[in-house]
Amino acid sequence: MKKIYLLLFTPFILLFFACATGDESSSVPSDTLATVVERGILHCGIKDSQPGFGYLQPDGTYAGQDVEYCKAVAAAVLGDANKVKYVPATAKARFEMLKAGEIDVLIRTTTWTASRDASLKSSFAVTTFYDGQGMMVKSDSGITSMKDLTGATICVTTGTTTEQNLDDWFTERNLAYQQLAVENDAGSQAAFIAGRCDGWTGDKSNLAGQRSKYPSDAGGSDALTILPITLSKEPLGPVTRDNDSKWFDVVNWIVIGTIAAEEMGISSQNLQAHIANPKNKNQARLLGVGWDGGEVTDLGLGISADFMQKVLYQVGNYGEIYARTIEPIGIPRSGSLNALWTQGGIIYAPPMR
Amino acid sequence: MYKKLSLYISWITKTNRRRKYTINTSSISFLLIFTIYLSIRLSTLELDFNFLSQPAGFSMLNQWLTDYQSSDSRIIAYLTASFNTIRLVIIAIIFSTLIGLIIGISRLSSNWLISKMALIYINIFRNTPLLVQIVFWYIAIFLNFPNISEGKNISELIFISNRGLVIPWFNIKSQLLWIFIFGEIILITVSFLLRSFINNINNNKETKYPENILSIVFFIICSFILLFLTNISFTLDLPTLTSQGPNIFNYNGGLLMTPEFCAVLLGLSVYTGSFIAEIVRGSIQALPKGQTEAAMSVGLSNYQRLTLIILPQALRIMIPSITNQYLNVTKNSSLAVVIGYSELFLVSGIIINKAGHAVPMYFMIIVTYQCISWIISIGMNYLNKRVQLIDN
Amino acid sequence: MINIKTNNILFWIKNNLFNDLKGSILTVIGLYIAILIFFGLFKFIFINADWEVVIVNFRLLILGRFPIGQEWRLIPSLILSCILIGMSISIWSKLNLIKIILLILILYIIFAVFLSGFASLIIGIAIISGCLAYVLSNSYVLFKIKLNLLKKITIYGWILLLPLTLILLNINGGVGTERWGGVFLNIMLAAIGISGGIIFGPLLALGRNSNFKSIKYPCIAYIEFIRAAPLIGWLFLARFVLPTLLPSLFELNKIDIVIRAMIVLVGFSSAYIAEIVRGGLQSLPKGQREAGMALGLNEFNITWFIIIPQAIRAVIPALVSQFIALWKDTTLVYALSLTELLGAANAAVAQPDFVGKQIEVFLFIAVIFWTFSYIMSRISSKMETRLGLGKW
Repeated sequence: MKKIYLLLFTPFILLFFACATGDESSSVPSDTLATVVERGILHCGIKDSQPGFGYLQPDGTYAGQDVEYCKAVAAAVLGDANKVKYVPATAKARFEMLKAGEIDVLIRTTTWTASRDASLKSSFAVTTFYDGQGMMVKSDSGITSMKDLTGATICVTTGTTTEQNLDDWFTERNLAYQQLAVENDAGSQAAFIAGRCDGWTGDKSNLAGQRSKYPSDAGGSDALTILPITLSKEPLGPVTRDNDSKWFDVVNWIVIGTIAAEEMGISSQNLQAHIANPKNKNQARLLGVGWDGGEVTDLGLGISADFMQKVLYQVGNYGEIYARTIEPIGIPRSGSLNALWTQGGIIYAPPMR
Repeated sequence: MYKKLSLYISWITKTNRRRKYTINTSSISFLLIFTIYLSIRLSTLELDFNFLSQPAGFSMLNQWLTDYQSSDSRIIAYLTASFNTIRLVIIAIIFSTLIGLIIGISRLSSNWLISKMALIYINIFRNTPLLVQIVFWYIAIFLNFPNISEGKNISELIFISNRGLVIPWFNIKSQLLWIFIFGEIILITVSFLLRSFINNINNNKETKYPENILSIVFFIICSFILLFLTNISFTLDLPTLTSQGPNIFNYNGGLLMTPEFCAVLLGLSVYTGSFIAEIVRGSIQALPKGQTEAAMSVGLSNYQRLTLIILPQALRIMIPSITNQYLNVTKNSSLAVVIGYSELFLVSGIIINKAGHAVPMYFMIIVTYQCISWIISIGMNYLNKRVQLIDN
Repeated sequence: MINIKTNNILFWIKNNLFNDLKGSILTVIGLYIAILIFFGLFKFIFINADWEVVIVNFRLLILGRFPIGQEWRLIPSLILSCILIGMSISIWSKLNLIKIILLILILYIIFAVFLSGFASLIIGIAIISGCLAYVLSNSYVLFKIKLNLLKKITIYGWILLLPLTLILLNINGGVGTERWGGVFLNIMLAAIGISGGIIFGPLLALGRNSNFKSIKYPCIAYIEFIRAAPLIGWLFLARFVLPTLLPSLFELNKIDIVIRAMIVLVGFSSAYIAEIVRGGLQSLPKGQREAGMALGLNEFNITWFIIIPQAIRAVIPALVSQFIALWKDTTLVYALSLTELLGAANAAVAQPDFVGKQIEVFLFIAVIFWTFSYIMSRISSKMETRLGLGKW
C-alpha cells in the first residue's frame, strides 16, 4: 500500500526537479525572433507617463516616439503594426522585466550606459533620441546656474540614471543638496510645480515637454527655465536581452532603416513611387525590391526582405515619427543633435547593404 | 463520482495510525521537495549581504533625529529608513487613538449635530482607500501651502510652508547618549521588578509598603544619578530660516516635519482613527446600560462618568480589536512610498535598483515588519493582561 | 396646528442641540466647522474646479485600456449584477427603497454628465432592471415562488456571475488581462481575490485546526508569514522575484503581471479569511460535530455540510468587511504600474493638456471608491441584524 503512494509521488518529485534545475538561461527564450513570430504578437515595454515618448491617451491607446518604434518592430517582424502588447514598465522594474522575458524589447527612454549594457544583461540598439539630463527651475527664483542650487531640494524620479548623475554632480563639488525621490513623473512634477522642490532634474526632452505645456494661468512656459547645463549625456534607445544577437540585429536595423529612409528621402507618402521605381541600388536594397528587374538582395536578418516597406508604410521614417510625436511637445528638431548628420545633427545611418 | 470523492477526502481526514503515518510522510516529503525546489531556484539569485556595506550614493530628505548623508553605507540608509517607518508608526498610533477616542465618544453624544458629524466623518474616511487619501492630502493640502520664502511664521518659533513644519526642539549633547538611553531602559525594567517585588512582600505582611511611590522615587533618583554620570546637557534648539544663494531657503535647527511625513501621518491617523472610533463606539455600547445609570445615580458628572466608569470597562473589550488596528497601521505605513517619504520600501527600492539583490532586501523588509509587529503585539498583550487584572 | 409643529421643532432643537451650556458651545463650534467645510467643498466643486480632465478621460478611468468595440462583453455581467443586487437587497437587507432609488438617481445624474449616449443607455437599462428585480422579488408571493427558491436562485446567480464574466471576456478572440483597466480592473481584482480567498481560506483554517502536525504547522506558518508583511510588499515580490521562482514549464514564469497580482491577492486574502473562518469554527458548539457523527455521516460530509456552512454563516459580516478592505487594497496594484483606477488617474494627470489638475481627478476617484464601499458596508450592516444563525 505504502509503495503505491510512493509510486504516485515519484512523478511529482521528478517534475519538481525538472522545473527546479532548469537554469535561468533556459527559462528565457534565447531566440526571441522565433518566439515573437510564433506567438504572433510583440511584447513591448514602454513608459506611460511621458508626453512625446510614451503616454496614455484618453481613449486608452498609447502614443509617443517609443510607441511608434514598438509599432515599427511589429510591422517589420509580424507585418502588422497593431500586433503589439504594450507593457507599461516602471523605471525600477524595466530591466527585471526584460531579464525575465516578460517583454521582448524595452523601448522606454532608456539611457545607454556601460554598466547597464554589461551587468544588467542587456544590449542597446542604435540611439533613437539624443537627450541630456537637465535641470529646471522656476524663472522667478533667480537661479541661473547649478551652483546656485547649493543646499536646495531637488525632485527626481527614482530608478533612473538621473538620480546617480545628480548625486555625482553635488558630491564631486562637495556641495550639499537634498533629494525628494518620487516613484513616478507625475509625482515629481506635482511636487516641483507646487514649489516643494527648488529644482527638477530629468531628461531635457521631458523637462521641455512639461515646460511647453505649463498652464497659462500659472504664467505659461516662460515661468519655467531650463538651466543651460547638461549634467550628462543621455542617449535613449531600444534594449534587448544579451546573448540574442539575431533579435538584437533585427531591432537595431529596423531603427537604422527608419533613419536611412529619411536620408534617402523615402517617406510613407512617396513610398509607392519608390517601390515601383527605386532611384538607386541603395534604395532598392532598403526597400527589398530588385534593382532594374534583378534579384532582391536579402540582408540576412531572418525577416522578409521587404520589411522596411511595411515599416515605412505603416509607421513612417525617422523624420515623420519625430514630427508626429516629439515636435508637438515643443522640442524642435532642426539645429539639435537629433537632426540628420547632413543637417548638423548626429542622427546617422550605417549603410544598409 | 461525488461519493467516491467524499470517501477519499474523509479517508484523509480520519485519524488512525497507519493513515497518520502516510499523511505525515507525504506532506513532509512534499514540504521537503518544495523547500529544495525553492532553494535551487533562489541559488541562481545573488543572496549575500555584502552589498550593504558599500556607500549608498543617494540622498534622502532628512527630518528630525536623522542625519544621513549619501556617503554613508547602504546599511545606514536602510536603518535610517527603518527608523523613519518606526517613527511614523509610533506617532500615527498615538494620533489615531486620540482621534478614534474623540470621534467614537462624539458618536454617542446626546448632541445631535456632533453625533451626526462624527457619523459622517466615520463614513467618509472608512470607505475611501488609504492610498487615495494619502495622495489627496499630499497634493491637495500640503503641497498647496505657501512657498518657503512666503511661509507662515509664528513669532519666529514655528514655521509652516510647503517645505514642512518646524517647531523648537531640544538639543541633547553627550558623548554617552547611547549609554544614557540604554541605562534608562534598564532602569525602567528594574523599577517594574522592584514594584512586583514589593507587591510580593506586601502579600505576606500586615503593614503594606506603597509600591507605586517607592518604585517611582527609585526611578527618579537613579535617573538623576545617571544624568549626572553621563554628563548630558539639554539646550533649546530654535529653528531659523536661512538662505543659501539667491533664492534657496532652508530651515535650520528645530524639529522639522516634511510635508510627505505630515501627509502620510494625517492619512494614517484619520483613516485608522475612523476604524478605532467604530471600535470605541461598539465597546461602549456593549457595556450594560446599568453601568451608566448607576454612575448617574451616584451623582457623577458626565466627564467623571466617562473617565471613571465607562472607558476603563470599555477598554477591556476594545483592546484586542485596537491591537489589530495598530498592526494595520504598521503595514499601511508602507503606502508612504508613493509620495516619496523615505520609508523602508522606497529606500530598499533605490538600493535594489542600484545594486540588485532583490531577494535579500525583501527578506530584510519582511523581518523588519515582523519585528515591529511583534513589539506592538507583545506590548498590547501586556496591556491587555494588566487591564484584565483590574477586574479581579 | 402650525404652532404645535414649530413648538415640536423648537423643543427638538433645544433638547438635542442646546440642552446645556457646554452642549450649546459644542453645537456652535460644530456648526461653524460644518459650514466651513461645506462651503469650501461647494465652492471648489462648482466654481473653482475644471472638470474637463475627468470628462475627457472618463472612459480611461472606468475601463482603462479596454479595446474599443469590445464593451459588449461586459454588458450582460453588468445587468446581471444589478439584478442580483436588487434581489439581494430585497431578500436580506432592510434598506429603505426610497433611499436607494434616490442614491441611484443622484449617481446616475452625476455619471450621465460624463457618459456618451449609448453608455448611459446601457447603464440606465442596468439600473432599471435592478430596480425591477427588487420590486419583483419583494412581491414574490404573487408569483407563487417560495422564498427559499428565490434565495437559492440569488446565491447561484452570485456564484455564477464571476465565471460568466470571465467566459464572456475570453470567448471569440477575447480581451487579454493586459487590456483590463480602470474601475473594471479594481472590481475584477477584488472579486477574484475574495472568491479565491473563500475557496482557499477555509481549507487553510481547517488545516490550521488539523490533528496532523505536518499539516497544521505549515498552515500556521503560511498564514502568519503572509499576515506579517504589508500587501504592497507581496506585490513588489510578485513583480521582481516571482518570475525567477516559477518553473519555465508552460511559460509559467512569463504570466501577465495582472494575473500575478491576482495570485498575490488570492494568497493574501485567503490568509486573512482563514483567520476569520477559524474564529467561526471556534464559535461552533462541539455538539454539531457529535450530532453529525451520530447520524453516521463520514468526516468529509460532517466538515463540508455541517461545519463549514455554519462557520461561514457566522462570519459573513466579517467576510463582507474583508471584501471592502480588499476592494480598497486593489489600489495598491498601482505600484506595479497597472492601469487600475489610481493608475489611470495618474496617467490622465500626466497628459500634456491637464497639467496641475490632480485635485479634480483624485476627488473623482475617491468618490467612486467611496460609493462602492459605502454601499457594501450599508448592505452588510443591515445584514448583520437580519442574518441570525440558522436563518438562511
